[in-house]
Amino acid sequence: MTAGEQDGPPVAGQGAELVRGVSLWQDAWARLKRNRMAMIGAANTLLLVFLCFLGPIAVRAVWGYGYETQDLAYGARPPNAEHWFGTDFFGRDLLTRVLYGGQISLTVGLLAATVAATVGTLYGAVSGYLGGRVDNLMMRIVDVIYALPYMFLVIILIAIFQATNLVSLFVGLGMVGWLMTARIVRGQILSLKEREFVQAARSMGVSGPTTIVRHLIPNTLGPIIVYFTLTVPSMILQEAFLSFLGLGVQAPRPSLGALINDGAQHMTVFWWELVFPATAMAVLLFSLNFVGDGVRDALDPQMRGRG
Amino acid sequence: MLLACVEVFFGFACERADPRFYGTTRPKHGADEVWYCLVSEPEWLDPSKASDSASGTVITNVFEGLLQANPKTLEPVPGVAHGWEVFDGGRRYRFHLRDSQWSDGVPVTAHDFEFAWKRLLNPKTASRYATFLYPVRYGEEAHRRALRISGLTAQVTEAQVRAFVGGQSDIEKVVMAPEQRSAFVHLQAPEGQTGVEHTRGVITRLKGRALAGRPVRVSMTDVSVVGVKALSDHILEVTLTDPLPYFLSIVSFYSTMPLPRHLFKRLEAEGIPQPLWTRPEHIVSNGPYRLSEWAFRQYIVLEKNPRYWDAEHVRIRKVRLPMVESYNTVLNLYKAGELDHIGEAALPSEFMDHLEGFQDFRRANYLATYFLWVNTGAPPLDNPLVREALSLSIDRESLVKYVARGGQIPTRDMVPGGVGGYRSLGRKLFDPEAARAALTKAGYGPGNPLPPITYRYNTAEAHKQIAEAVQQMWKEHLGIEVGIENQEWKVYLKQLEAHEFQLARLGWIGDYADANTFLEILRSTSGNNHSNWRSPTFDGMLDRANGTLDRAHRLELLREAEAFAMQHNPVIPMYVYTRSELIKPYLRGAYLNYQTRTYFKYMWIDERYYDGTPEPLPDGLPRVPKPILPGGSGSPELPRAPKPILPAGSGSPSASGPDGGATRGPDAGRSSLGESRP
Repeated sequence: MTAGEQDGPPVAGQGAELVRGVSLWQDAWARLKRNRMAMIGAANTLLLVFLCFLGPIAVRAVWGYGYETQDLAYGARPPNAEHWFGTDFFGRDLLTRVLYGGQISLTVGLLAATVAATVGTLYGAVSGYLGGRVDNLMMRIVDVIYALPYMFLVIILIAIFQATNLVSLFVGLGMVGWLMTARIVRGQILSLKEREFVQAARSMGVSGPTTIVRHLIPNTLGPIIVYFTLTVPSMILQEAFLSFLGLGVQAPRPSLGALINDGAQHMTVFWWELVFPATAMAVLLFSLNFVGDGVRDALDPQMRGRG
Repeated sequence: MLLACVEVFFGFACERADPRFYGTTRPKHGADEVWYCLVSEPEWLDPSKASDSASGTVITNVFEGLLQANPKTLEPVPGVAHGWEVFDGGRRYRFHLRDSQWSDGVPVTAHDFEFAWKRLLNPKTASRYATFLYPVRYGEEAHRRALRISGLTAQVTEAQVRAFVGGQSDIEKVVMAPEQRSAFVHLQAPEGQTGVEHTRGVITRLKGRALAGRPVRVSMTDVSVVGVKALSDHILEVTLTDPLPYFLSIVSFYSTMPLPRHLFKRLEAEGIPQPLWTRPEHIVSNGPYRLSEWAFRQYIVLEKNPRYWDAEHVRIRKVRLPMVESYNTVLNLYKAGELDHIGEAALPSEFMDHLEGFQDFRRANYLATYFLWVNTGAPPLDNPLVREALSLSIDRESLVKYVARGGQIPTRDMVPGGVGGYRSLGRKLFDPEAARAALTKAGYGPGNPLPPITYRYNTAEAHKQIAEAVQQMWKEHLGIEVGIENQEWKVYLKQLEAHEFQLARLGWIGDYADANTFLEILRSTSGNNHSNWRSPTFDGMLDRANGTLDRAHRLELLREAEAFAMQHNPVIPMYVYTRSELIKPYLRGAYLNYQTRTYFKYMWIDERYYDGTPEPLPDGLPRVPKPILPGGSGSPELPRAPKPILPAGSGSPSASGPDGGATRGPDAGRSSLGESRP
């Protein structure tokens, strides 16, 4: 918000056109709107979020069953008028399970990405702001963790929590996924802290933490948001992988990854159990990635004028 | 990844497949090999310690006991012992050993058996199967380290012994052993003290005291008193407390196989830890095969043992045992010809309807129960009403029909009906009303929900399906939330042993065709009892039943014992297994018996199968050795081998396929005393 002045005073006389300054955010938004793929992705994401969060509730309200309701005698039927996506081995409605699974996957993705972004931002900001030896030490720690296999660490973390529930899942993913954010933020802060507005704040006696939170972090929001939008889909993928290993969400709760895992087991006999969750996952990931790419392009100063 | 899949499917499509069979019908290996799926990593290859079906399969083929079993009927037939005599109305057996060698050329002697049996009973071995040899005289006393009072005169009575010890400790039971001039006293240790500590204390206090006016010696019982003795290198004599109808089946079971004493001595001299003796570089065995490779969690390779006494009849020279836990992978491997026999693996239930149409599909009865161990040690499952509620609210009929799908027999009893003439309890299978009432009576309901409980299974799709279905049934009928959790087989067994679980599935494969094999695991001293439910009353009932000579009366007593145990629900049975197998048409001599007992030495690859002139199927029974009576002439009482009886419901032993097949495995739990089928 340091960039660009707000609405300039109207120029008097001659009925001249109104000239308005454009803030970074307005500029970015304008360019994002011009990016058709990003807009389709965003609309799609919103639609999916809407469906995933309201769908299961609606199904329960209207038809009286949920993602966990079994009808053993009605197991493994292909798609039909009553169950659009068919039913699984236990006679559970696959559509409801895909929607609920999408809800879980989205939740895990968003929360894990939030945890990662928060931890990474704070860590990177402190490291960059303090500089010198502290910076050196903090960044070496990041390097060491970065050198370890990612999934290995997540699995250890989940094992330490001694529980495979949603919370341990996104905390586990987030606690390991913050490294890149920390590096990006630190780089930004290193250059920002030499700028005049920071010196001004210091000369007015603003304390270190306040400087970081009030002045430095807001100025790095651009890259953080970009990285965040790209982290969400990758977290969803990681969750799918963990579900594959049996460390993800626990039955009877589905996540898209768990559904795909189950479906892959019997794809030669019950194809619909693989096709629908896999399609849902693909659509969701594509949409989120388009949004992420669009936001990155929109916020990138180098892209300005080329959009 | 994608490309690989495409290739695989393309490959299937291209093969000139015989549509009557599932997948390829040509072996991918030489005519002297078998590829058999072991499913999971064997826990122990040490006969004294093993209890799971994967270990059992390897041990059964690598070692040979006094007797072995007919691979089809499981009747005991001669093994290392070529004949046996019975004395004292079935209380004393004398086994005559043939000349045979360990795989390093050292002769196998009766001393190797004596050593192995005593090691099994030694509490330091920590065998789960020690109770197996309790029928051997003083076996129980040795294993439980009873108090031994020796140096008694023949006139000393039990009452005098009780009076002598009585002041120092509660007494569980006294066993008089006049021929040893001893008495064995089972003490009851007070809370918070182990049995051994307590006995030690009592010994110090009794030292130097006189019994009936005479000095006596007080000590802790060790295995030297056990009624098994090598009379010579070729004769082993076994004394039993009471005649036991199924004793010869015990002798053909892998826990009683001989151990290479000379190897143990050598390892000790070289300072190599004893547990390493089963590694391929050390192991010495006496069976038809020897262990040649063991790649952890990947595969085991067995090779023919040229020193085996019957080596000329062993046709398969190499057995490859891959460990594949995923049933779907097993099925695909079988289809592609990477397995000749799905072995211990179960078939995925969702494929069952599809597979039943193929000619290489076989189904047989199976003496095994699928059940949940309930850890009765901790709340809320220490409350019998809660256990009753859980047990009664499982809709077993649906579970079997729609989830397990293998024609299994739903049951709420531990012992499958029909075993050795046993009449099953026939407890009511499903009663949600009564279940809810029991839960309410236990004080749980909407206002006071049941604390969270966890249902655990060993990683396998089939168990997961059962778990998910049961989880939902409990939610629907009792309104309770149960978490489910999976673990790798070996870890799973360790946690069972440590009682670190609440509900955990297991399959128990009967070790012999007698109800006792299923009830024995509920005995308080059994290493296979994972429930924390220990009842001296139940132990007493089992002892009384097994000490009864009249068959009908004995079965009735066993039935009473089961009824007593099941009242407390230390286990929640679900169904009696069936075995559904896929065996390639070119693999012959693979029999389906009612246990997971597979003998590779009877198998062969039928090369004429390809020319369209397959060898005629064997007439049903394999060629097995016949007992040779010692001395030739005399006719000692030859015990009649117990007739194996198949699990409930159906039919005669011939219910297995045309030429039999071997076992399958892993959906289960412990076999032999059940190996647990993983």
